Amino acid sequence: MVLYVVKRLGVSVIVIAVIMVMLGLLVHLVPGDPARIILGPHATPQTIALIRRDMGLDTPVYAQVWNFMWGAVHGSFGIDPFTSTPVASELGSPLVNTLVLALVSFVLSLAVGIPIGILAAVRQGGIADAIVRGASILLLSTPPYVVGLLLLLLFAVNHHFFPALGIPGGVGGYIKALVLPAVSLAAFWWAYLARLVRSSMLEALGQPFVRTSRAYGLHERAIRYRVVLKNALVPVTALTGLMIGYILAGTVYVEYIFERSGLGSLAVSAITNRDWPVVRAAVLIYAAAFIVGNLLADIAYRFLDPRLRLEERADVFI
Amino acid sequence: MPEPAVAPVLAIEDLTVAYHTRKARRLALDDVSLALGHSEILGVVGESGCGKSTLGMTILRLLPPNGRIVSGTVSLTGHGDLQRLSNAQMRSIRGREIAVIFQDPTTSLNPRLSIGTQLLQVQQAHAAARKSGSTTAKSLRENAISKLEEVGLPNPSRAFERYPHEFSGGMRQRVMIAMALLFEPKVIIADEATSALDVTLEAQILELLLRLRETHGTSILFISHDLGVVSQLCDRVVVMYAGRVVEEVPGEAVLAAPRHPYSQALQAAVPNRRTRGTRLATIGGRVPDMAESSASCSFAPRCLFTTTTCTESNPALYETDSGLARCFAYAPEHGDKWAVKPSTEEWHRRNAELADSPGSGGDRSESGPLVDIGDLTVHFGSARRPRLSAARPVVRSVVRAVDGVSLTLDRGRILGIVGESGSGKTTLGEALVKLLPPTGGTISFDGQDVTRISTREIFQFRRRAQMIFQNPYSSLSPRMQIGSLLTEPYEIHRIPKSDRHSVEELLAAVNLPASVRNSFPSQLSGGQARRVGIARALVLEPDLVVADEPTAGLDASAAASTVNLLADLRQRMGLTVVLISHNLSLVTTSADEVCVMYFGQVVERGDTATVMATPAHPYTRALLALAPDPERSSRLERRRLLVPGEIPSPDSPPPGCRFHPRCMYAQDICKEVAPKLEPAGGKGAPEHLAACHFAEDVRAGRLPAAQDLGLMAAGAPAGL
Repeated sequence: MVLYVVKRLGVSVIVIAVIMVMLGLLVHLVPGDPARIILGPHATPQTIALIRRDMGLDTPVYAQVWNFMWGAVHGSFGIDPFTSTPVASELGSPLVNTLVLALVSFVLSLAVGIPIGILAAVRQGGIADAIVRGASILLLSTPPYVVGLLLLLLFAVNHHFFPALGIPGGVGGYIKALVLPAVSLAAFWWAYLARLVRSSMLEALGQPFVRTSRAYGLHERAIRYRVVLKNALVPVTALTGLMIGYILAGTVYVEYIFERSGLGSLAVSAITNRDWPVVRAAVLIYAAAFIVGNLLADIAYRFLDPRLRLEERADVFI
Repeated sequence: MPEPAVAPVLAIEDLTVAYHTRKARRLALDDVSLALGHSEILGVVGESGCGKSTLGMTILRLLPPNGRIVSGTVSLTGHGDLQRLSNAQMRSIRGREIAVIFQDPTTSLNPRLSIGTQLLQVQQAHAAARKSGSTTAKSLRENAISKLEEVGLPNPSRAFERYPHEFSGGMRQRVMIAMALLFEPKVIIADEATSALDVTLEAQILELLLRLRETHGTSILFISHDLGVVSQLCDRVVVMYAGRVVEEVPGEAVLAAPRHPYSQALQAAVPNRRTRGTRLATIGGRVPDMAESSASCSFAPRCLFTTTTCTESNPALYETDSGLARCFAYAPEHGDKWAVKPSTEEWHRRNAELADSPGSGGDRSESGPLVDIGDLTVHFGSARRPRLSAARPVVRSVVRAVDGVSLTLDRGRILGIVGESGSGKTTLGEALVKLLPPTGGTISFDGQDVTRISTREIFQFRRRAQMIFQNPYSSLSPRMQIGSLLTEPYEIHRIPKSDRHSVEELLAAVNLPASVRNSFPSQLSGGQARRVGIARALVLEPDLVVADEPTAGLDASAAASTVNLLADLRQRMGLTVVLISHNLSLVTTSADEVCVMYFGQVVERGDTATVMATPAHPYTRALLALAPDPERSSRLERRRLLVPGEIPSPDSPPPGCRFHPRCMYAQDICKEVAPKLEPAGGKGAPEHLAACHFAEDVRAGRLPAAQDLGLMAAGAPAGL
């Protein structure tokens, strides 16, 4: 197991390094001189040269890539040419906002989606099952931003339960402002997870080892939660890694709809402005989150499936 | 018949069970009565679909939702009629008073929970009901470990922490038995408990069950389709057909003197040393699906002794010289209608008359070797791959699935390859048809070296060498109809239309009706699907066919007709067949030559008759002794020849003779020097080879003193 974690960690580091190289080259992969684009058509050659020097575009390409990587490893992403402040300090509070939103949606997705799926499986063919299946189809076929807009309309505009836009001050306000964005992100996963858990739970309940448990006098409740659940959650574990990535990506439009300050809205405006240092920093953070999420999911997957652990074991038994 | 001395532990009276589907109702048990005495082993045999498993599930009240007990009672001593109990009361009986061992320990145990967790869960389920003894986690754990030890798991406290996949099949089944023993139940239901195991492991598990009966006085209901196994183990046997008990006899009598024609037919279908070279008898037709209790003998349509009486009225159980049989031939008032009483021999004779004589294309003009393999090795996970991390050289274990096998196979012959699972027989077969690349050695086919040929040449080669895969359901595409499955090889090899056989012809060649052409594999019975697999392998009229366990999972009758079919096809098409099986009796019935494999190597090879008559390797001897035989059913003799343990871990072969840790005749030399495959010294049989230092002695029956390997004790000798 340890060997596996070390191996996977190594692979992750390599992937992040490759992404950094590509991000370092990003400026040159996109057509047009970045300095000229930033300054507009009326810039003088002197100011362009100045900006080029500020952005480090006058050094050789390999040096630019190296400087970006070296800086990124040390938490520095250069200077924002538009605001002339360090990118790292600009990222600070939006990043926290985004991470809080993503984390809350993630937990909310699992905390609601999995129990709903279990409920539907246990009541297979019943009313609860029918409702869950119908509702999940509806949710899955509605684009997530529509769900966000509907929530906004319903709970913030028509009924003022929650603030509509922005993030008000104070802890209470912060939490209140989190509810609608988090729910609109999680709703899709409730539907998805409910279906996934339902089907994998039903599949596990049909396995011969469940018959063994019944034949040995286990109560149906014990069979559900102590025998079958672990098997049913394996596919969910595999999914969580991807979920982290998708939820982070989802924050982009949620932040846009709810006008929240966050990494997503920052990235969107940076891309429009060709603000390369900010784009690079944002993309690197998204990529890192994606990779870490998958790493954790893979490790958890292995932990849940003892058969995958076997190959590392030195003393194969019998 | 021997009546149980005291009141039965488990009594089933007039039990009728039916399954209801949307369309129809199907009678699974029809007025079944039987009694299981204290510490008695009662066998229940029959083909699949005869209601055997339904019986077990009905006792436990675990019928599927569409199954219903129509009438009758199941009573357990001390609890009365089980149907009157509440669900909670019934739960407390399951596992505690009546435990069950299922067929496939691989799927019957939860792969994601450790053995210990699963054993604890069962105990915790009954913790509240336990009156005596403490129920602390520690005492439960100790109880579980002591049971693991009792069933012969080496290092039980370590095994407790392990997961099912870390055990071999035999050990897993021992874990299942340990689970059954947790509460020392009154009754154990063994539902095909040994059907998925090799003969050697099967013998070990049977021994274990016998010992448990002796030590705990447990009564065992042993459900099996295998007449031989049942006769070895059981005190009394009940033969079931179409939901009815058709015969009830003492255990030995079911092979020695079966009285009901159905029992005789089952016996006639099982290969043994007397059936060598002959066609196995089959039972025409299938077990009928019945909605209502039949008004006549339900076996009459398939029986070869049917008279008008059989089709007009319903037989009761009549007394015979050995027990009870539901057949009018033994009824006092009808008995004289049978000039020849039903017997296995008579069934054989009549069956042979019925069978169309195989076409006589027997004279094959060509002869000479078709396949010649020299020193073939197939290794898996070889360490040749260079490792990136040089810091610590990673030693990858190499599995020597086939390790130095040499063989010559003449045209038109059938070569049987026998061995336990893990012996490398399937790997050898797959290497023969180039489904696996050999690690070393040579394969030549029809004089041409095919060891290392290009992908293009392999494609050409495949037209001439085909494989019949073990499981037709998983090796045939479930989404293709039989017709397309059979013509697909033509498409792949772009055979011109004029050279093709029609689907009807192909189906007829394997005795299947043309009507199955539009079916999907899942709609066919096991025997039919197997025939489709055979037909598909024969479409391109290959010279060589490798059949991997062609009868695994089939009922005796379906297995017999599959074997007959292969023999016919060899006759008609001059086919050369490699028949891979763990069933020595099956191979010896149909093969011209046998090759016994152990741990990737050939340990004995020769003409079938010679090997059977004078086995020169202790392993072959043991395999032969384990095959059921009506003429020698002494349990004691078999016990002496048990092969203990299992094939050791495939990546670390024992030094010297690879069989020595399990050989009860092993001497010092066997532990150090690996024997070569050499002539066994029989006069007139120069091609009888064996890899044993004492081959000549073994062949001549001059066996060295047997050592006590602690036959049942640990199951596996040290070092495994």
